Formats: sequence, structure tokens, C-alpha cells
Amino acid sequence: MNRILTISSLNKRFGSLMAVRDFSLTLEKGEVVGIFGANGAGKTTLIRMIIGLTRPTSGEFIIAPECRIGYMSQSFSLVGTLTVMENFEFYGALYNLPQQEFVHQRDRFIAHFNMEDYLNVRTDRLPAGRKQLLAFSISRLHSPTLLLLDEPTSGLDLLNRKRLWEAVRDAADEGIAILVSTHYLDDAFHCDNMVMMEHGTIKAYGTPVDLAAEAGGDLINLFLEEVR
Amino acid sequence: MRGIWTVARKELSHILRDKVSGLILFALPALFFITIGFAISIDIQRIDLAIANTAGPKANEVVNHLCNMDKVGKVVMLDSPSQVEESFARDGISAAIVISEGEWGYNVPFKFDLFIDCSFATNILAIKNPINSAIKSSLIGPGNDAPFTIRYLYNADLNRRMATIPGIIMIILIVVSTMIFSISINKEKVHGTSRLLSLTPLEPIRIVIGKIIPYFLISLVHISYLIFLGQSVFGLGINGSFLLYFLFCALFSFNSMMLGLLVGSYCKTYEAALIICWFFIFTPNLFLSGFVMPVSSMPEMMQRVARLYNGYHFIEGYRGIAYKGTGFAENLPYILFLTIQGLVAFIIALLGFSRRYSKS
Amino acid sequence: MIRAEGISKWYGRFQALYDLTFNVEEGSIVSMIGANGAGKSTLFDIITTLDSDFKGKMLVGGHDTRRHKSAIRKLTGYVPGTFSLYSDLTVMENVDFFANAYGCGREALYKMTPRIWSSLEQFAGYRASQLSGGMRQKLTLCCATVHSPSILLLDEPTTGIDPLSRWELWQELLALREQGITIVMSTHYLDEAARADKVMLLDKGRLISYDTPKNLTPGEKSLEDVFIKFLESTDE
Repeated sequence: MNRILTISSLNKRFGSLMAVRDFSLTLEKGEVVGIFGANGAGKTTLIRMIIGLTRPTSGEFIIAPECRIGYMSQSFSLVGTLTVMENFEFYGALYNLPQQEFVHQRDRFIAHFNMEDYLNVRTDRLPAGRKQLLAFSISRLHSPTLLLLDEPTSGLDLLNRKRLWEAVRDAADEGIAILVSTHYLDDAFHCDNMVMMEHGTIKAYGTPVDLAAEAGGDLINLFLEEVR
Repeated sequence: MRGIWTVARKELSHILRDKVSGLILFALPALFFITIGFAISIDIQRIDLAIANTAGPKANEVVNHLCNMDKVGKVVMLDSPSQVEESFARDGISAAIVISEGEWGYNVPFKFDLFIDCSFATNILAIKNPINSAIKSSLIGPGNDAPFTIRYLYNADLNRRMATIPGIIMIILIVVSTMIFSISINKEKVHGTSRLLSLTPLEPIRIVIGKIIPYFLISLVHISYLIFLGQSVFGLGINGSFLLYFLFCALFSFNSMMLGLLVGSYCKTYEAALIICWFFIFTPNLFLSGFVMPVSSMPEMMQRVARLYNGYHFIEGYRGIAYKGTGFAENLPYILFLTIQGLVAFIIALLGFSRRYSKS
Repeated sequence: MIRAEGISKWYGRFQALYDLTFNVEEGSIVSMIGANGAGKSTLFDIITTLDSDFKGKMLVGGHDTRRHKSAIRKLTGYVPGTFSLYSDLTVMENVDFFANAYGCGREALYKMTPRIWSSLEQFAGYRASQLSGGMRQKLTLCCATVHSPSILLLDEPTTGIDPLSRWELWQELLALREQGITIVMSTHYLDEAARADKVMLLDKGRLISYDTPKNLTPGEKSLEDVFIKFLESTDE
């Protein structure tokens, strides 16, 4: 079973505002899809519907059986007054992970992201890049098959953006389907496919290379075309 | 069970590591214990008394009993009964006794007129009873009785609202002028608007004055409608100069704002500013100003602490001007305290303002 | 237009800037690149006169930042890294507030930032809190230029805003450069850095390189490759 997520004609209305309109998308195992768009384009609403924080007005989405969902919000969802290790333990307990599995996952991420030196540091005192990697690790703690990342590279400098994307690609290589929302066009070329959203609907879909070619070599033209 | 324990452990970490929660959970009860535990008491610790003896040397024994009675503090000897009201205004006494020649039909050669300051309505019994006992114990012999009248000054109807109205004004002005103003000052720093503001040609003093004006005007509106309500609804008139009364309330508002400015410019977050105002300004003023219980009923140490607070000086000055009809000269100590405290707070705040304000 | 001589800055025992010396030519755009914590915001605080506690000398428009603060503040406009306007005031009220604070009118909006202002003007009655990130940044730029400064300092102005707003902001900056305005901006975007006249790379408080994008990228390398390689080597 390769298809992890199928979204069909999803709609979400808030009063008179259509936040998401006739949105359809599929996501395969190991695929990274980037959702691009301005603030208010509907990216966050879409993700909130998939993780169940808000109910769609109409349409459906089908998630593969036995699928576990991991989520990384814009604000990282870390508990600031707890240390790195305590955050791992807290989320491990919330996910109700068996001890052995928890220890295995935790130690794996600590080693992979070189977190040994700051395990006892409070997360509200960590630099943004390390927080991001910690939040990413925690979203993967329970071995999800679908990962939803809401603007994971927001505010990160060049090096940390690169590190995070390496982590995302590693996760994809392990077969995790990943949906990333972002408004950094630079992130596009890390994705297998990209969706450009505007006013809640899909304006463009394809590989970044194809879309860039269609847009005269610069993805920004996708946005400028809409303005014109 | 694991999930519950996990969340509980996390909460404990928050409590122990977050200074603000720690302060509220541990320091606040201690603060309440100290202020309420010591401040609230109906026992008067001290009665400052004036005595006018027109009955001559035969009343000396009674005078001695009065001077040596339990809880008597200052004793002011007056030359004549006509000085009684002046003494209340000038000497800050809580009661005065006039001992004069007795009346026919009594076996004791003097009579007593007791005057009690009732501008703080809960005072009365706590003053009247010890004086009554002292007088009775000085009249030795069975059946010895003397005419005894009591006059309730400044609050003949024993209207309890006399005590509450100044307290309400004080609370409202502290909330508006100290707490909300300190948040407004702090908000600019926290939101970063102070950075851009400090880069404009506006100097810190102009920024501060510009920020003070609307809050000051709002506080004047509060003062005005409270005066109106006090008079029309509660029947409390103003015996002294209306202008002095209004200016005194405005001075307290200014003083409160300067304290708010000081707190707001030095705190890093709103929560910290609000907690500091609550802990160190609002709550102590509530219990130590003399609004809830008379300051004279508190232990000596607490009375000294009370005198450091602007609320104490406001309540004292308010009662003098509004109820006793005292003027500028009699209330000068309170006016000076509020002015100097306000100016000192302003200067300290301004010194730190330009250095700290832009650092957000 | 901006000359730094031996700028060093300490926060207690921690040294944030190490002996920075550089010169920004009038009418040029300089991009500042560096990891978070490299010292970019600290340097902006010094240039904008918000911080006078440093070693060395900083001259802005020929004025010493320690001695001629008000002259420099009239010459410079600053767009800070976080949104620093009044969320509960409308677009127009924010602009008017800063115009009045500088003692000027709104003419500069039409002269200096016409493109940006025309996209904002339709939202004149909206509170700043109701605007998107991109619109807020445009508003901040308008408020920072309302007094017609000759130097513009922008601390990560394009971080977190949508691609279209980012593009529009850049078009406005390029137009400002044509008007002779000197611009220093920090960014995490290498494509923006590549459009500048000069790029300054800061790392852990040190000035690593300061040159044109062309000189910094010999051969076919991109700026991204060059910088990532450098940052990775120092991070180890």
C-alpha cells in the first residue's frame, strides 16, 4: 500500500469565507509535497483539517489504515520550561509508547541530531535551529507514516534550514509521507511535488522543476501571474 | 495513569521553574498572612486624646486615670472646650473629653462630654468603651455616676460609607493609574514599538507625558463621578474646600501613575508588571491604608510600614479635607509625601527609561 | 555613508562583536548574512544609535553614533526584525503617528515608497493586527521612510512573509537605491543577498567576508554553496 493520503474536493467555510475550496491531493509513501502560498491562502486550515483539529465543511480525505500522524506546528509545540530530555519523556508518555520503543527512538534522534550536549537545557533557552530539530524529532517519536509540518523553516537561518531539510529528506527516505506548508520558495526544490495555494484553492501543482520552467524560470512568477 | 502522572510532573516543573507562578503560589499567601493577619483587628492599639478640664483641680484624679488608661497614646491638654474641633484637625486626635462642672442631682461634681472622630465609622466602640471604663473606674464609690454625653464628629449619622468612599477612589485610581498605566508602558517595550519610538525625535520625557495625559484624564473622570455618587447617592458632602479636595485626588492619581511608570519601565513582561503592582502596591494599600481597618489598630511595626504607602496618606488627607474640613496647611504632610514620592518615582523611571525602553 | 572602525561589543563576559571594520558606500545595497546569533541585530542596534555601549567608532552620514544621535536618527529609517508598530492602530493612524513624531507630513509615502503605499492604501482603515505578515512589513517600511531618510536599515525584513510581498518589497528597495538611498539589510535568503551590491558575512560576531556577490562566488559556485560550506566548517 503506497498511497498514504487521499484528499478529495475538500472545502472549509468560516462564515462567508471559503478558507479551503475544492482541494484535492494525493500523497504517496516517501513523497514530500510542499504547499506554498501567502498567509491566508489556506495552508494551515488544510493541515488542521487533516490532523482533526477542525472539521471540513464538505469533501473527504482518506488516510491509509494503520497510519500514524505526526505533526509539527509553527510554534514547535515544545514545553518551554522543560529540558530537551524532559520534552522527549513528556511526549513519549503522551503517545503512550512502550518503554523500549521510546528509548530506541529517543536515543536515535539524540545521536542523529547531536543533541547530547544540551539534553539538560530548557527548550525555551535553545536557539531556534535546535528547537526546530527537537520539535521535528518529537513529531517522529511515535514512528508516524504521515508527517505534517506547518512552516517548519520559518525564521531559520541558512544552515539550520539546510539541516532541517536534510532531516525531512531522511524521513522521506524511510518511507514517511510528508506534507510541508511554507511560504519560502527556496524550500520548493527540496520537495518532490509542490502545490501553490491561493484563496484556499490549488493554482498550480507539479514538480518544482516543471513549475519553474512553466513560470519562465522563476517560481515567483507563479505568484506574479496571479497579481497580473 | 501514566499519562496523568506525566502531565502532573510537567505542571510541577512549570510551577517550580516559572518565577511568576512561584511568586503567586508561595509569596502571595505569605503576603496575605502578614497583611491580613496583622492589619485586620478591631482592637484600637492607640487612642490619641485631647482633654479640656474646666472643672478645676478636683477633676485631676479623673484626668490622671484618663492619661494612664490602657492604649492611650498622645495626650493634648486644651485650655478650653472651644479648642476641641481645632485639635482634631491640628493634632490628629481620635477623641476629646471635656470635663466641666457637674449638674444638680448627681453625686459627682463633674460632667463629661466625649467627642469622637467618626470619619472612620468602625472606630467608635473601640474608642468609647475604654474611655467610659476609665472614667467609671476613677469615680470611686457605689452609685457614683456622672452625666456623660457623646458627640459623633464628622459623621453624625454614623454613615459607614464615609469609610468606603475614599477606599473606592483609592482602589480605582490605583487600578487605572498604577496597574493599567504600568502595563501600557511595558507593552511598548514588550511589543517592540518602543524601539521605533525611541528613534524618533521625541525625547523620553515627551513620550512619558504624552502617555500620561489620557490616563490622567480618565482618572479625573472617575474622581468626578465618584464625588457625584458620594454626594447624591450616599449623602456624603464635602466639608472642606472642593478645589483642594479635587486637586488632592488628582495628586494621588499623579503619584499612582508615577509608581506605575516606574514598574512598567523596569519590568520585562506585562505579567511581571502586573504582579509587582498587585503584590507591592495594590494589596498592601488595600490593607494598610486605613481603608479596611484603622491604621491605629495595627501593631506599631505595621503602622510604620503603612506610612510608607501612598494609600495611607491619601486616606488620611481625604478624610481631613472631605470630612473634617481641614485645609492645605493641615494636610501639607500628606500632600508633600505624595508629591515627593511621585517625583522620585518619575525621576528614577526617566533615568532608566531611555536606556531600557529601546532595549526590547 | 556608514563607516565602522574596530567595533567590538560585550554582553557581560560574552563578546558579541569582534573588531568589525567596514564601509558602506552611499547609494548602495549591502546584504548581511549570518546564522542566528551572528551579531546582525547587535550591529543594527549600534548603527541606529540604540546602543552606545561598544568599543570602536561608528560613523553614520559622517556623524558619530555616540555624540550625534538625533542627527543620525533623522537620517536613518529602521525596519526591525519583529513587527514593531501599533497593532491596535489602523494603517493610516500608524503612518500619521510616525509622521507627526518626525514632524513631517505623508509626502514621502508617494515619493519614496509609491509602489508599496499604493498596495497598502486600500487597507488604510484596517488595524495593523488585521494585516497579513507581508502587509505589516510594507507598513513598517512606509513608517520607516515617512521622514525621507537617506539611510535605510532593515533587519530580516523578508523573513516569514509570502513570496509575492517579498518580491514587492525588493522592487521597492531597488527603486530606493535608484533614488540614492543607502540600504543595509540582513537576510536569510541568498537570492536576495545576490541582488545586493555587496554582501557581508558575519559569523559568531566576526566579519568573515565583505565583497560583491560576484567576487564571493568564483567559478560556477552559488552564494549558497559558498556560505553553507563556510558555516558548516566553523560549526564543527
